[in-house]
Amino acid sequence: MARLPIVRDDEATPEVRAVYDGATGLLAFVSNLTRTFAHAPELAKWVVPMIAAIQRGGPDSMLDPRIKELAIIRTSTINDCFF
Amino acid sequence: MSPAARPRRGVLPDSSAPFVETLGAVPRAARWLLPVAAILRRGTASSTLERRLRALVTLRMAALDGAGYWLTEQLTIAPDVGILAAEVDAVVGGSWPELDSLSERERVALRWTDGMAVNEAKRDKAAFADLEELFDSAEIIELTSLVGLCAFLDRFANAMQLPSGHTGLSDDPQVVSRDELADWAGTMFEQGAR
Repeated sequence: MARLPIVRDDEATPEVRAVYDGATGLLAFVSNLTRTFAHAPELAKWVVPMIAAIQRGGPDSMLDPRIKELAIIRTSTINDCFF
Repeated sequence: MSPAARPRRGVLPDSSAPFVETLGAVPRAARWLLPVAAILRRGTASSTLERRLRALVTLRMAALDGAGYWLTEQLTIAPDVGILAAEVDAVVGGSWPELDSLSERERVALRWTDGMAVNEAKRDKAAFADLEELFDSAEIIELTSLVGLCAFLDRFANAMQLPSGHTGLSDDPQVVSRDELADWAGTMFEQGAR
């Protein structure tokens, strides 16, 4: 069970709504990570694109997506993080 | 470094520092990561985490991670935010629970930091209960993000063997303003990490 409740769509303030719209544009969905960060929206609106920029590929990304994914899986495993 | 990754001196991270220069090789990530670092370390107008608390947490993580690059910076900053020499020694050395001079919020934040550093915070129900007692949900997110950011910064600096000295992420006494962030990163989500 989550320690902090996620912020649902019907609870989102306009500022949080903007974060969710941005997350949908960047990642195609609003993750529970984003919904948890929504408790601090001023932080969330910078963290969400930061995560997308680092984790996801893009036109100016030089790293092979397969290598990124391997690094993500390995780090999550070592950190015992099943999220 | 591309124009997008070039910060204004004295406002956000200093582009002449090894960390920013190294990260600047990937402006797509730096554009977002550096404002996040500035927000978490300095706070914004809406932040309620104390500067001293932020500095204590950053110092503790740098010590735990053996991150000389950030430890050097934090030792310089400590006096400016009211951290006494004896407190620095205890926080770096791990005897901070014996300090009488810490506030309850600082004590709980450092316990949370120690738990996160060894990935045990998720199992420590008492530590989180104490956190909930003294911090609201926004502060919990901000504090947990700060510790997580420190872990990232420490590992980045260690892995890249950044030379100690000027880090470029000094704790400016002013909080980060919306205008500064907008100036730094461009319009959120419109020009960003696509």
